[in-house]
Amino acid sequence: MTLLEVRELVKHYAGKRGIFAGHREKVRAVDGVTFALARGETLGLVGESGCGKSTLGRLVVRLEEPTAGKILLAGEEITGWTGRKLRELRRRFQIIFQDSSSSLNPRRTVGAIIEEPLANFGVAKRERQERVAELLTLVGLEPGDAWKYPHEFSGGQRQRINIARALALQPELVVCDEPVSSLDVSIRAQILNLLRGLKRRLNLSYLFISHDLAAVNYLADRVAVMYLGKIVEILPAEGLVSQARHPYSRALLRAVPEPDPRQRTGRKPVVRGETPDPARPPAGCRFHPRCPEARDVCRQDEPVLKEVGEGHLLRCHFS
Amino acid sequence: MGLSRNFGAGVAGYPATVESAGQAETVSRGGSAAALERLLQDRLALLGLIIILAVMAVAVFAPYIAPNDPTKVDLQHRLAPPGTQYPLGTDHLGRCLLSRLIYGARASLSTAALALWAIMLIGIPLGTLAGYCGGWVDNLIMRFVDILLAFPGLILALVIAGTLGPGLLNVMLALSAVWWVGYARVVRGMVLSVKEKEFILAARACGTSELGIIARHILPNVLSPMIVLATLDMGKLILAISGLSFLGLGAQPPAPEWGAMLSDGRPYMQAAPQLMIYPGLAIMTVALAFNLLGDGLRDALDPRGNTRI
Repeated sequence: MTLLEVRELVKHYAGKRGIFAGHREKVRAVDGVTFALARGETLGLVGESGCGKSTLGRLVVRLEEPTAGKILLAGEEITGWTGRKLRELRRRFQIIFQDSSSSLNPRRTVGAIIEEPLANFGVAKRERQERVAELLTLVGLEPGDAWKYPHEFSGGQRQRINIARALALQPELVVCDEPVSSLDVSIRAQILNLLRGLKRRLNLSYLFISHDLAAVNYLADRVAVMYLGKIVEILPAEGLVSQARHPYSRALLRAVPEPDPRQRTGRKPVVRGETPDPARPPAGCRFHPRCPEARDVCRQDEPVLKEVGEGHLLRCHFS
Repeated sequence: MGLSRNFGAGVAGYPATVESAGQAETVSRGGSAAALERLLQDRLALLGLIIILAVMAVAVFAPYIAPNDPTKVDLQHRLAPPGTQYPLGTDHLGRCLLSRLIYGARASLSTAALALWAIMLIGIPLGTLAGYCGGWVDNLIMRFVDILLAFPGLILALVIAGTLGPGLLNVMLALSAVWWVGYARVVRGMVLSVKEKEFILAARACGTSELGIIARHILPNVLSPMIVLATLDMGKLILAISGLSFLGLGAQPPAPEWGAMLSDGRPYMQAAPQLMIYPGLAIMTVALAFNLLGDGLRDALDPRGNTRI
């Protein structure tokens, strides 16, 4: 059953303003993204920084207003919802941010932070305290930690607090916006395992945004690869390594460091150059200036996302 | 490819170390108790605090401390030297200098405190509004602030006080009317930086209303620099009030006020310099005390920036 559906979602930001009004450049952060997320599923969203994946996450939880397109939650369109309806909607999806320290107010205790969503929805004080203790235990902290301040915790523990707050309202969908990127490598695995365990226990669905392919592959059922505001490939996670066909996806896979030195082949990354300016995306296929296999047609026609296998969508003229 | 193995073994690339419970980390923001402790360790700030508390006590208990009625004229003892009846001597009308100083503390401190409240009451909400709402609200408020800032503040206050007529209350109104712009600007800047923090987004995502975000997340994070600014400004306000009173716009005779006392004593500077020395010392001491405390508070509330010499 589909929990979340996104149709042709577009978000443009007004960019640099010219000297004369009206000459504003548009930054196309998200430029026509379509995907669906089933209940209980984890969709990994990968791409390099600046490709619009975080914006997409914020659009989904209605922290940003889309320029165009539709967002459907359990079949119901929620794009235009405002006021009380939007507030009620907040119970159903939550977001975990990348920076575990900047996402916690340094002047409030952990208890007050986790309690806030509950207080917003009128849970009684006593019940709130019980829930806070429960949530802290759920994410692997002590109930007594409720009286401490965020700075008394390590980065990994702070991310646990963020997770506890996100789960306080028992949401159906959690958008994880690079939840482990700011963490020490040794702590990432713990947080990933925690997220995986919580998903099973609480029957959650994740939109898991990351630039770390290993993390995405560990957690996700399906992986969507995003480049310059568009999804270029969606495929089941188990086939990521063997079946990824888009030149960009393959380049990303090749960029993952090889832990075994004997397996290292000295292959150089195939993607050259910088990400183009999202205010002025290249004509034709957006990846063509950096693509090793680009041909004339790629410079002129923009490829569409088409099905090339079971659950496998690809936006490329070739491969 | 090694990648597939890596995936197959779960997250083999990540060693599963036990997260140390309290990773050593420099504490960037302690509670208010820690700040108080740091403040009390700062000797100069402590000195400032003691002076302020003492002057406040003197102001509150003026009727019990003052040896004489501050407004009682004793023409037989004009410009008297210090003695048993008048410990610091008398002024040109034979009024007790010490008693006038003691009652003067009342006028200076209360006017400055009231002005500060008024300033914060105007400046903080407007600055918050400008910073939080942005757009045309921000433009409207800040352009008005710019206009006010384009005039020299004290001169403008002088004009306003002159227009309203002399009196401590009018001085207070005049000072508040020009002084709030600084607060609005500082608050706006801080709100702008706090607004970008992810905990604001997180609060919005979990259903906190905009007012709740301002009250629970933005204002508390703006508060401590405000306390510092307010303390430093108390000193400046006392100076400004004394200055306006010296010019005859503030306290009216026979009410005792330090700036007015300076003005009264000026013609007798040669014969009886104490008439100017004592009120001058009083103004300087209190202004200095507020500055010392303000500096100390800044260091205590923000342990990162150790600018103190």
